[in-house]
Amino acid sequence: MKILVCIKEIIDPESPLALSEDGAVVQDKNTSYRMNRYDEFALEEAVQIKERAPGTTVTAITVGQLRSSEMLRRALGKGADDAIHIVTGTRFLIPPKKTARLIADYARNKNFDLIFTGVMSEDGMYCQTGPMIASMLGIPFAVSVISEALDHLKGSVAVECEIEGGIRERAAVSLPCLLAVQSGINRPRYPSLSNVLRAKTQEITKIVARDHELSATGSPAGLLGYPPQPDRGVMLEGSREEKAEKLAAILHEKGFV
Amino acid sequence: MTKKLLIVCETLDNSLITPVQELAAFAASCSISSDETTVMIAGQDVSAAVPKAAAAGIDVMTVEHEALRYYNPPALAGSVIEVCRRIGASRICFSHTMQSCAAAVIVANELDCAIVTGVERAGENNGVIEFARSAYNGKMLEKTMFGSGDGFVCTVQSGSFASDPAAPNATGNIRKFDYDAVSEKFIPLGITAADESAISLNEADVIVAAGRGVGKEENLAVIYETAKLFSNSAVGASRIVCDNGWLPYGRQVGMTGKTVSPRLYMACGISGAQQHLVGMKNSQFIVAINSDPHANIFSTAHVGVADDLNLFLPVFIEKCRGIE
Ligand SMILES: Cc1cc2nc3c(=O)[nH]c(=O)nc-3n(C[C@H](O)[C@H](O)[C@H](O)COP(=O)(O)OP(=O)(O)OC[C@H]3O[C@@H](n4cnc5c(N)ncnc54)[C@H](O)[C@@H]3O)c2cc1C
Repeated sequence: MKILVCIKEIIDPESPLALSEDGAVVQDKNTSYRMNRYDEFALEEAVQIKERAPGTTVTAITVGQLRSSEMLRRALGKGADDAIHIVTGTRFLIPPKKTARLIADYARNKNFDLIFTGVMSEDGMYCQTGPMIASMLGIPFAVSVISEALDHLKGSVAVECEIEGGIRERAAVSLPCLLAVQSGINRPRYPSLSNVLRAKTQEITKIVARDHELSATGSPAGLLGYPPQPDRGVMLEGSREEKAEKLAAILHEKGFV
Repeated sequence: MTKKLLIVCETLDNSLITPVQELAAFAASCSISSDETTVMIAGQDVSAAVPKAAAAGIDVMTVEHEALRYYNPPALAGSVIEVCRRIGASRICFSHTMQSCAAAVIVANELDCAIVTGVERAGENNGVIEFARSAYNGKMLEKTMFGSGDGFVCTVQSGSFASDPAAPNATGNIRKFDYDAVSEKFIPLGITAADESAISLNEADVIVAAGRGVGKEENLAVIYETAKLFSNSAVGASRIVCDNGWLPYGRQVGMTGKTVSPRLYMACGISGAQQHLVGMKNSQFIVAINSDPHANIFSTAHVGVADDLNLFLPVFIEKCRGIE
C-alpha cells in the first residue's frame, strides 16, 4: 500500500502577525512556525495504517518555502518513510488551487492508494486543498474524517465524517481515494529517537515549483488586511486587580453575580 | 451583462440545512442577485424544504435522488454542474458547510472557475464585487475582487448576513430537474446523532468556556471555580480542549459542537476561530479573557480582558466573592 500525506508549515497564529507594505505576512526573528495541526493527525493516521499493514510506505509531501524542509524532517521523525519538498518562494497563503495543482501533478501516475490531508490549514482556513487535489486526480474523497477502516477485499475505506453539530456520517469510499482528516481522529505521537536520527541524514527530494505553475490562472490572489476594529466591545484597562474589579462590577450590575 | 446566479440549498435526511434567506441577503449585499437568480434544492425528498427555500419570488429548481439523502459532495456537485449548464449560471453560491464546501471545490475545478470559501463580508462598488473572509483565526481578513463579468463559486459563512425580515414571501416557479449521474465511488450509508450528554449546555444561563489557553488539564479547576460563581452555569470548551481529552466532546461549542446562546458566555483562552464563533456569537453577553490583545475573540466580545487567565481568574473570583 502506498500512502501520500500532504503537510503544511504554517506561521503559528499566536506569533506576532504583521503585514508588509505589499500585503505579505512579515517573517522575522520573532516568527514561529509549526506543522499545521490537522496535518499532524493526517500523518499519524497514515503511520498507524503502516504499522498495521507491513509493506506500506508513507511519503510526506509539502509545498512551501525552503525552510519547510525542517518540518519534513519532523514528519520523518514521526514515521514517514520519505519526503518530497516542492519548493516555493517565501510568500505565505499560496491559493489552494495552486498548491493542489502542484501536489496533483506530483502524485499523478504514482499509484498512491491513499492520500491524506488535514481538513484545513490553520492559516488560510480555506478547506479546499484536499478535495481540490482529489478532483484534479479524478479520485473520490471524504472530508472531516474522524474514523477510517480499510477494507482491502472490497477495495474501499469505511469512513465516519464529522459534520455540523457533531453529527457523524458513515460512508464507503473506493480506493484510491483522498481523506481530509479532522482533529481528534487519533493522538499524534512525538518523533521517536531512532526515526529522528535516521531523518537527520535522509535525503529530502526537492522539486522547484516553476513560476508559471504558481501564477496559474483561475484563483485570484487574495489581499490580506487587518480586520476592521469592532465597534461593540470595551477592553478593560488597568492593573490585574483593577480589571478584575471592573469585570466583577459589570457582571454584578448585570445581575450575574 | 449581469451573470446568472445559482443559490444552492442542501438537505440532510430531508430537512433543509441551508439558511437560504441569509444567502439571498448575501447576494443582495454585493448586487449579484437578479430576476434570473435560481435557488436549487437537492435531497432525497425535498417537499418539506421547498416552501422554506422558495422565498421572495425566486425561481426554485428541485433535484431529488436517493443518493442525496445524506451528505454526498460528488452527487451534489454533479447536479449543480448540470443545473448550471441548463440555466446558464456562472456564479454559484453555497453555504459554508462541510458538504457544500467540498462540493464547491469540485464544481470550481470542473468549471475551471475561481472559488472563495467562508465569505463573511461582501460589497459592490462601481461594478467591482468584493468578498472578505477570515484567515489566521480571524486575525487577518483576506479580500478577493471580481469584475462584473466574472464567474465564481463561493461558500458563505452562516450567521454573517442578516436575512431581510421584510423580504416578500412570494413563491417563485418551482421546476424539477432530473439528475441520475451518481458515482458509486462515494456511498453515504447513514448518520449517527451527536453525543447528547451535554444537554445542560443548551439549558445553562451562563457558560464558562475553556480554550487551549488554559494550558493543561489541571488548570480547568479555575474554570470550574469561575463557573461556580454563577447560578445555572455550565463549563463549555473549544474543540482543541476536547481533542486533547481534557473535556468530553459533548462540551464542545461551535460548528461541529453545540450552538448555544446563554445570557452570559465567558470565553477563556479561546482564540476566536470562525468555527468556534458560529456556535456562541448569539450569546446575550460575551466576556473574553485572552493573553493576546489581538486575539479575534475580542471582536465578538462585549467586554475583553487581555491577561493570562490562570492569573486573572483567581483574582476575579476573589473580587466576585467580595461583592456577595
Ligand atoms: C471543520 C472544522 C470544524 C471545527 N469545529 C469546531 C468547533 O465546533 N468548535 C471549536 O471550538 N473549534 C472548531 N474547530 C477548530 C477551530 O478552527 C479552532 O482550531 C479552535 O476553535 C481553536 O481552539 P482554541 O481557541 O481553544 O485554541 P487556539 O486557537 O490555539 O487559541 C488559544 C488561545 O489561547 C490564548 N492563550 C494562550 N495562553 C493563554 C493564557 N495563559 N491565558 C489566556 N489566554 C491564553 C492564545 O492567545 C490563543 O488566542 C473546527 C475546525 C474545523 C476545520
